[in-house]
Amino acid sequence: MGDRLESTMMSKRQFVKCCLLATGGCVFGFDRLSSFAEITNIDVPPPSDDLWKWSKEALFYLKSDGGLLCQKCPHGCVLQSNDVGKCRNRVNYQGKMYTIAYGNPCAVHIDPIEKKPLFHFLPSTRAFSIAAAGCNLRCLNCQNWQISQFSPKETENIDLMPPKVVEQCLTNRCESIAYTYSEPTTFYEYAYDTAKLAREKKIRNVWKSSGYINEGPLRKLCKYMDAANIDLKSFDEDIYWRLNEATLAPVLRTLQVFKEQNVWLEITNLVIPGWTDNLDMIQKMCDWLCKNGLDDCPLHFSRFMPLYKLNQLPTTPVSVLEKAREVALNSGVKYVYIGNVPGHNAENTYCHKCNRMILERRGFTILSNNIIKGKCKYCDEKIPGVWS
Amino acid sequence: MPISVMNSPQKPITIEWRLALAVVALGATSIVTQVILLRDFLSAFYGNELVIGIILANWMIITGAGSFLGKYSSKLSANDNFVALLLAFMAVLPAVTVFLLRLLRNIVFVPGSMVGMTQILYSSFILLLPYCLVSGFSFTLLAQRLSKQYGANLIGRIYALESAGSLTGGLTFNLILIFFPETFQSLILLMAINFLVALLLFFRYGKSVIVLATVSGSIALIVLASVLDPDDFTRRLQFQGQELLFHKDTPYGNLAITKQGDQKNFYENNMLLFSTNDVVANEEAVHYAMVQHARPRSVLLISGGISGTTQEILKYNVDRIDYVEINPWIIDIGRQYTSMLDNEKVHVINQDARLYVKTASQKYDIVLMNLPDPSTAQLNRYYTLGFFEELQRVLNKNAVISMSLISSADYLSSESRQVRSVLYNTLGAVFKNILIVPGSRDYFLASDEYMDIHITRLIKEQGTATIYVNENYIDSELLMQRSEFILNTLDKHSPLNEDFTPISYHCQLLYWLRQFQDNYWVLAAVCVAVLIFLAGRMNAITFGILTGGFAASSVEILLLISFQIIYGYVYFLTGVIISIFMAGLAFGAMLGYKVLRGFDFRNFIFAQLCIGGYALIFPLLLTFLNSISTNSYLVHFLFATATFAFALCIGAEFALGSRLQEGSVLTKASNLYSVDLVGSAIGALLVTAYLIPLLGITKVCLIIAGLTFASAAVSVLSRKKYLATAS
Repeated sequence: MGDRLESTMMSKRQFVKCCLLATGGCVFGFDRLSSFAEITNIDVPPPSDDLWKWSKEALFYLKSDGGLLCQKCPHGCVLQSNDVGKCRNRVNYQGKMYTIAYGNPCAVHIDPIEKKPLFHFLPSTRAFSIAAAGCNLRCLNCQNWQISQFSPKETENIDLMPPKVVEQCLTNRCESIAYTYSEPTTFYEYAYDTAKLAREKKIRNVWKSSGYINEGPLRKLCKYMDAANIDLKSFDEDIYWRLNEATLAPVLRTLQVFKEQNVWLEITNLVIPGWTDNLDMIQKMCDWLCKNGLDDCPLHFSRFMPLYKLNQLPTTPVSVLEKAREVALNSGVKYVYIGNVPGHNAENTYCHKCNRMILERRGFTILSNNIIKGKCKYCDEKIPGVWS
Repeated sequence: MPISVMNSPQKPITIEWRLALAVVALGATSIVTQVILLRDFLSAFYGNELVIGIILANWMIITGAGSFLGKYSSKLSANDNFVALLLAFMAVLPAVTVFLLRLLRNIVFVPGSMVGMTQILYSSFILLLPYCLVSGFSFTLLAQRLSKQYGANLIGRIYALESAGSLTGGLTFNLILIFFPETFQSLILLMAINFLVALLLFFRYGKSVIVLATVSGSIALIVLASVLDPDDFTRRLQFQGQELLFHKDTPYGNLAITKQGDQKNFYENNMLLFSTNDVVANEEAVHYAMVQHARPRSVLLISGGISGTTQEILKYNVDRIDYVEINPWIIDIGRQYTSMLDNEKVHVINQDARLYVKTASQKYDIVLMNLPDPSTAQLNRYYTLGFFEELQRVLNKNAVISMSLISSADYLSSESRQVRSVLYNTLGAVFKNILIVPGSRDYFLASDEYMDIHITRLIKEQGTATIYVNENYIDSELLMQRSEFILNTLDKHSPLNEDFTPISYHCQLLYWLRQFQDNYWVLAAVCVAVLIFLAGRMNAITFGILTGGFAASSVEILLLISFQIIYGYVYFLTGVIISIFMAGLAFGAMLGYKVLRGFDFRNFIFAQLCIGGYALIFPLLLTFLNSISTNSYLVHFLFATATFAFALCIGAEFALGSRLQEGSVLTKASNLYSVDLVGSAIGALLVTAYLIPLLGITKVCLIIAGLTFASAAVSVLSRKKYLATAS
């Protein structure tokens, strides 16, 4: 309204008093608002810290004078009584650390293994995929923010204890169980126990993660993991912090440990315009991978779609993805794929030695397979991967 | 304060034309700046009702504060140079504000990221602060300056002049400025006009040194602003790393096209409409629905026609594609930058789809809606029971319609579930079968015929060549599982989304807020607390003005939304409704000032009763208008009349309240203007973001009526005091 009226008859004192009180009210209100501010800055505790059926004493923590020191991921949260970790699902309850994400996944689906993406691991098979709420990162472009940025107490969950997961996996005839969608590091105990049971039933275990985990827990996990796809989100500490609220070095260490422990490893790099599309940075990343013996780990350059908070950016141009692929191949990375661009030739697998197409792939469908007993049909070169 | 002469009979006073012009310019600048800034804020942030409410509320509250501070300017106002200097200063502020907004957007906030409610609240407050404060301050300053010069209270006159300025500004903007391709052209023109007015005052009252300084300063600024092309500069800042091929301000938002390598990106209000060669989006939008029909011949494509969907539709050998697009400039850029509209089977219809569907004679086998989620009242119109029923009229037997929502990915939060439940149930009230197809978006197909989730099998059988929608990429069994997963989690008892109870956009607001983990209710609680706090400390007149302000902004919004629902969205007509509203206000104020010169407290009560009565009748009026919606002349006429009549009551109430307040020496009340603005601000925010989507238009009207009658009752109870004072 542009309605202009003015009265010159008034009590100055009263009006000032009113204004001050109203301002106070507003400030209080705005102050409350700011406590609901962006999740990148603060961590909202779950509605209640009480334990429940899906709580279990957590692995990897120390008692210290300042509280309980979580040793699972590089954040190293120190939890006072009733505090919640950055991951939203580890709590200090009466002097012990508990996970509240045990046996209560909020997402349970069956996916083609190529969706993880894993291209050199049991092609055209299905992965029984589970996730509990919570994540130790704060990616601005999170596809699954509705589960990753909330605690299990805020999501609707399914009661599915580890034996049940294995049972359902078998019922649905899935070759593997994937710990995915949100961040399995945060529901580590649940994933670990499930993986152990799955191994007994000869089901493979797949770890889809940001790789932001400490070395101790990771090494313990590796005993039961058959494959991992790690998001190497960029190759720059500053970008890692601004985009994901994490650091690069621990992720690089994770890649090395998986490789060292003989867990089949593939790496995903999401190319976000203006953030992670710098070819010099991609060059450095590829050089590092090759220098550290990770040149035979397939590298997936994934196309960005505007999602969650990063929704005012364009999709990644295919030409940029192609250039990134070229950089990687020239650096010596042997298998480089382009993701989220249906019909692109870079979905196929080309032998790193003879360059001939050995797997013609469209999505999760293998149109032709020229890998015989793990070797290239044309040049007999061993093709890295888990093929059966 | 020199008001005591107010009630004595006076000779007609003629205000000196330069000063009168200054008041008119103030009103005109205010309205034009408001529209431009709102448009730019929505483009920089995100355009839903909550954001609009926050920005308007900030605008009104700061202007009110500025006007209040103006009361302390009595000493300054003695100096005529100061008035002119202030106007010259104000001339620069709108352009500077827009420039800063665009400059700082990607510096203060993460580039390319959406900004949450809290950040919008404080950043819009800070950016609006200089202009709104100065503009509010200037009004009081001029009012005091003029009242002093002529030895009489001329506030009513000044209010009328200012309203006339708003009307002129509004009309000029809607009829002329809106067609300027760039925002800064309008802003520079506005700057020049204000400089001119300031100079006129200087020439009349100022010292020669200041005149010279201002003339040279104004010319230098205007030339600088024109030469530097701030539009181009600031737009490039928005799209860093991309080559900006085209940008233009249209009445429907800012359009921009950028290039990166071989890819072109099309933006509307900084949100990506689409990128070229997005195979997944184009194929999903078309094939999921089209493959369900045995022989689709005619297709109605609602929006999204230049992204590549037409090429996909043409794979079915259809007879015609009617592509309805509300924004004519999107059609222009489609023709200029793509070849998607070249095929002769594609018929472009430049109209609001709702309006088109209401009057179309053509019947369709397929309707593809490529619209954003129902996140605003305007978009919500395409997801209502009313629209689906209208749509049914233009459908052939066996027709299939398709629409989509942002993908729920791997989990349905309660907000996502609610949005889907409402859409599912609303579609279910009109169509026999609904099929949910989860893809890069969640597609909802509806038809009276059976539909099959085995889409890839159908594609194969029909031999349609696709890159993505085929069995290589989509596993029918897994798709079915995901579809059933969504279906099974839906609430089959959730309410329907209706035109006058638009629940979907409430659900969508909750979904949007969840991304920032902002609490939806905090802002409403603050508004209600302020309202109660103020109401408890008011007298009959201020309370009347408060409820009047609340009713004014609420009913204006209701009028705009209802017109869109009943008739359709036409940008030009929205401007006309707002202008009629302002004319009504100005005329009502004059009526209160002149015609009711022998003022009476009873008239004040009568005006409130009229407003309350109007709010009571309004739902009935809407029902009637809806029933005759095909008679567009009558709808237009009645809407115009209804708008004018309401604004007349509001204007009269304010004028009467103002005179009564002045007359009543005993009253110790708050500043009327601030109260009016607080009422309007709270009305705008509460009604759009909370009350309409939660309660529906009818109940909102009842609330407005209830509040107005309550203030009328207070007036009746305290009438003796005022009647005694008047006599």
